[in-house]
Amino acid sequence: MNYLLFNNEIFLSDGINVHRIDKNDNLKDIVEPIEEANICVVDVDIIIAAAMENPVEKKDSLLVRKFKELYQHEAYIIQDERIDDNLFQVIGIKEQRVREVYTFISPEKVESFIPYGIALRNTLINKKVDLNKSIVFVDDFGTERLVTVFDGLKFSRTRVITNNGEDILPEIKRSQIDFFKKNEEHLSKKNTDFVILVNNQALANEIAKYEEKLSIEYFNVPYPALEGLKEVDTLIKYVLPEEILKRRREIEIKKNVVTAVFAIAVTAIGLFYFIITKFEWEHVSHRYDYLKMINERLVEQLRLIDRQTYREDIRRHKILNYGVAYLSVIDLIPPSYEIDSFKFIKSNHWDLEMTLLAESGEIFEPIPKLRILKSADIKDIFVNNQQEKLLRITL
Amino acid sequence: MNKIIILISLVVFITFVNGGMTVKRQLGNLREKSYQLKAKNDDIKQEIKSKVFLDRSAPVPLACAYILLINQIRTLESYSGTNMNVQLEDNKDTEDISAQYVDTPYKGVKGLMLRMVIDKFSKETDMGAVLDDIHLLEKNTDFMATEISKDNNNLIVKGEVYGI
Repeated sequence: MNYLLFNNEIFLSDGINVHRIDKNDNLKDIVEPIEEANICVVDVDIIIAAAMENPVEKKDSLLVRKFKELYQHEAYIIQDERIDDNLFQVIGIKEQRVREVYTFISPEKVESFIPYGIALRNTLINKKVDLNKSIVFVDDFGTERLVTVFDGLKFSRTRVITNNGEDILPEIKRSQIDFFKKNEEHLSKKNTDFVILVNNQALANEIAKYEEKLSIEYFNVPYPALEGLKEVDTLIKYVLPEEILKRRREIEIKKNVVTAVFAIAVTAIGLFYFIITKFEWEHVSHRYDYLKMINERLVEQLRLIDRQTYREDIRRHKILNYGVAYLSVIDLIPPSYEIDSFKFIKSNHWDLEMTLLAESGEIFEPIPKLRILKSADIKDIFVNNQQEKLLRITL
Repeated sequence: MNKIIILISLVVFITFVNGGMTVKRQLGNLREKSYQLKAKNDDIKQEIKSKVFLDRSAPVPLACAYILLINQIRTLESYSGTNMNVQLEDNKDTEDISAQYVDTPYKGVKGLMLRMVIDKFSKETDMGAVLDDIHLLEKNTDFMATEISKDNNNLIVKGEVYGI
C-alpha cells in the first residue's frame, strides 16, 4: 500500500519513506508501479450544514444545494460526513482536481480518496490528541505551511501559506477566527481559546516567542496526513462522475443479472416441478390407457366365452336333485315328526333348513345324526308358543 | 422493473406449482384406478382361464329360453297334475318381459328372475316327486333355482332363467 498527498507538490509514501515529487517530474511513471494507494487532497472546500438525516436522498439533495449556494461557479465532487445529530460536514473537491489526480493513478488502484483534513484528523485521534479543544494545526513542509483548524470532528479549509520567513502567527489567528466566524452557529464552544500544534520544533519555539500566552505544542509526526492515510476509517471516497455512473451501471447490471437469474431459477423450479409431475402423469396415463385397452379386450374375450359356456356353467351348478336330498333327510327322521316347513337356500352351496313338529301327544324322539344328517345342526326352537326342531343341513 | 420481474416470476412459479399439485392429485387418482384396473384384469384373466375348458354351445335368446321353460312346466303339469303358477319376480303381469331382464355374472348373458308358486298340496302329495320335477325342469331348461321353500300350503321356487 502506498500513500499519496496532493498539494502544490505531491508526497508519496510507501509506509516508511516519503518522497517529495514535483509536478514537473514524470509523475505518471513514478505512480505507475503502485498497485494500491490511499490518497488525500489538500485543496478542499467545506461547509457545515444542518439537514434531516432521513430520507437519505432528501438529505443529500439539501446538502448539495447548500454547498452550491456558496461554491456555485465550478463543478465540485461533494461528500459529506455526519458530525452530530442532523449536522453534516460537506466537503467538496473541484471536479477538475479529482480528474487531475485520476490522470496520474487509475481509479481501480485507489483504495481511498479523502480530504487532507480527515487524514490529519485520523492522526490526531490516533495520537490521542484531545479534539474537544479547538486546535490549529500547522503542518510544516518547509517551503509551505498548511494551517488547519479543528473543533471536534469539524475542520476548516486548509490554508497553504508559503514560507517566506515572515511571522506565521497572524495567519494562524486569522485561520482560527475565520473558522469560528464561519461556523459560529454550529460550534459548541463560544470562547476563542485554542491550542496550536506544530510538527516542527523550531517553528513551535519561534511562534511561542511572539506570544507567551498562547498554548503551543510540538507534534512529533513529520507527515501527519500521510500517517493518517494508513488507517482510513471513513466511507468518503472521491470518485469521478463517470466512474460513479460506470459503477452504478455495473451494480445495475449485476442487480439485473441477479434478478434475471432469480426469476429464471424460480420459474425453472416451478416449471421443472410441473413438467416432472406432468411427465409422471403422462406415464401413468399411458399405462392406464394400456390397461383399459387390455381390459376391453379381456371383457370382450370373456363376453364371447361366457356366451358360449354359460349354459354349461349353469348345468354344472344344477347337480343337486332336491327330491333325492329331501327324501334322504325324511328317511332318517323318526315317523313321530311332522314336517312343518323347509327351505333350500343357495349361496356358494345349497343349505336345507327344515322345521319339524312332534305329532300330537308324541315326545321329541332323538334324530339320528347319520349319513346326510351327520353334520346337521339340530336346534330346539319355539314358534307360536310351540316347540319345534330346526335342522340345518349343508348339502 | 426488477420487482415486477420477481413478482411475475413468483406468480409464474406459483401457477406452475399449483398446476403441478393439481396434476399430482390427478396422478394419485389415476394410479389408484390403474391398480384397480390391473386387479380387475387379473380377475378376468383368471375367470377366462377357468372357463376355457367348459363345453361350448350356441347361446339361446332369453325369450326363447323363457318359452322353453314355460313349455317344460306345462309338460310337467300335464304329467304330474300339479299346477305351477309362474310369476315374474315381484311382478305378476307385464306386457314386455324384456324390461325385466337383468345382468348376470356372465358377460353378455341376461337373466329373468322368476317365482313359481305350487299350491293345493295334500298330505298325500309326494313332495320328493315334486322337488324331483323341479330338478328335471332345471336339467331340461336354462333355468336355475336359487331358493325353494315350503311354508303352510305353498311351495315357492325362486330362480332365474338365462339367455342372450
